[in-house]
Amino acid sequence: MKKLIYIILFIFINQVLLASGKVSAGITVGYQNDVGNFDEKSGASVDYQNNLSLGGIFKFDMGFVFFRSGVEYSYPIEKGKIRDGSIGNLEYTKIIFWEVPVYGGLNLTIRDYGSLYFGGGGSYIFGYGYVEGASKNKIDTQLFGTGFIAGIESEIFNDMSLLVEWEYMSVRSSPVASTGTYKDVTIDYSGNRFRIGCIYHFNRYD
Amino acid sequence: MIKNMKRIIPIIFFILCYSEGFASSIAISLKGGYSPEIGGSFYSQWQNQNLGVHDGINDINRSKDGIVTSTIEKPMAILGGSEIRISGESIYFKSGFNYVKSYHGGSGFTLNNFGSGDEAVEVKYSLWFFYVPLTGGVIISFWDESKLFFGIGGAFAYGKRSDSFKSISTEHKASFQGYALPLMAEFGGEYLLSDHISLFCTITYINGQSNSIEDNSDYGRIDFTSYSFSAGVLFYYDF
Repeated sequence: MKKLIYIILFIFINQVLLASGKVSAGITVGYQNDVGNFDEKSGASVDYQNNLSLGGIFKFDMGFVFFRSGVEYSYPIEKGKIRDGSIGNLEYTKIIFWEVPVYGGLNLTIRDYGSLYFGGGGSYIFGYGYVEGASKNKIDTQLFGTGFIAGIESEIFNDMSLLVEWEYMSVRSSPVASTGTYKDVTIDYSGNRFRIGCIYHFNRYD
Repeated sequence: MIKNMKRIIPIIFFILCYSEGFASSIAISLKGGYSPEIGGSFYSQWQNQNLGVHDGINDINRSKDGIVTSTIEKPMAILGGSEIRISGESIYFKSGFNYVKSYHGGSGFTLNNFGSGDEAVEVKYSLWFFYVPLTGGVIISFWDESKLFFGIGGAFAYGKRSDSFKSISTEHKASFQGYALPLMAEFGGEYLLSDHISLFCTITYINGQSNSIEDNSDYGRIDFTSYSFSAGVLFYYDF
């Protein structure tokens, strides 16, 4: 998988260097519902953990293909609460993470109005925070999960666009806490992320 | 299954023939892609009764100091397929054949006590399935340069799921083969390279699972529910 990512990166970086592509950067705010996916566990009664994120986005458009990366910090606006001892003695979740997306795909430019893009790839996750029951169990993990991305850019000024984006990715940590005999609570970072932001095009009319 | 196939094939054939009446183009696609995760929870009765794992792969990971284990992640899958799309000015119908196979993840080591102390248990989940979609939807063209499409529909899906659990004292294997008629939704975009060729990307969502299936005194379902991302080439035959 790593080899494949390196090959994709190599091809896109080469394209950026060799072609006169459009280089853009911006900021996004995002939202993710049920972080950790504890509500999906059988028999669990959970108040969702909801995260807001703040991120920087870097995008290279090269004709009909694009490469997108950046960095994003995701922090809970509501901690997860597990009710009635439905997942052992676990009571609270506070899952924080940095995410570095690495995506590439098809970029559909709609003349001067904006563009639509669809890409595959994945995200690096650097997870922190804790899950809390009888004691606090810290999370400290680094993972890579595969996913895909779809977004719309709509021009609001000559060099700036409004951006709306959806990402779905999947990855799970090793066990970080115990509900019984074993450590058996994993952190599932999978799920949908929704983002909105502004992106500035540095060399749009070059 | 054959009985259901006999019902579905004429329906697909009828819709494709009927849709030719309004069609302005027929396109054949070749595509490849992947699903970030497939197979749902991989729940089975044996895991529930013998491992105390009530939610399949969502519950299977266990670790303890002094025993080496590894994380069992949901399987990621690769897919390939070919589809035919009949489209009018702004509406399309599509059918074809897609094959999905787990490629990465779905295996590792967990722990269990079968009565003689904690043992490492090697776990392997795998799944393959094919599906024949029948979807219809809307196409929006942008100056014959690019297109955006949204569609919904259903599919006939057939597959095989294999579970394997092996430790020093216990070994269990089960294979579940079955079918379902899952619902589908898709959206994607096309970039027209010429009058007859375009590149496309699609995001597809399938939702459905088989009935409970028995094998080797075990019961499980095949869950076809998954997102997938695919890209490929469309070849147009205009009227």
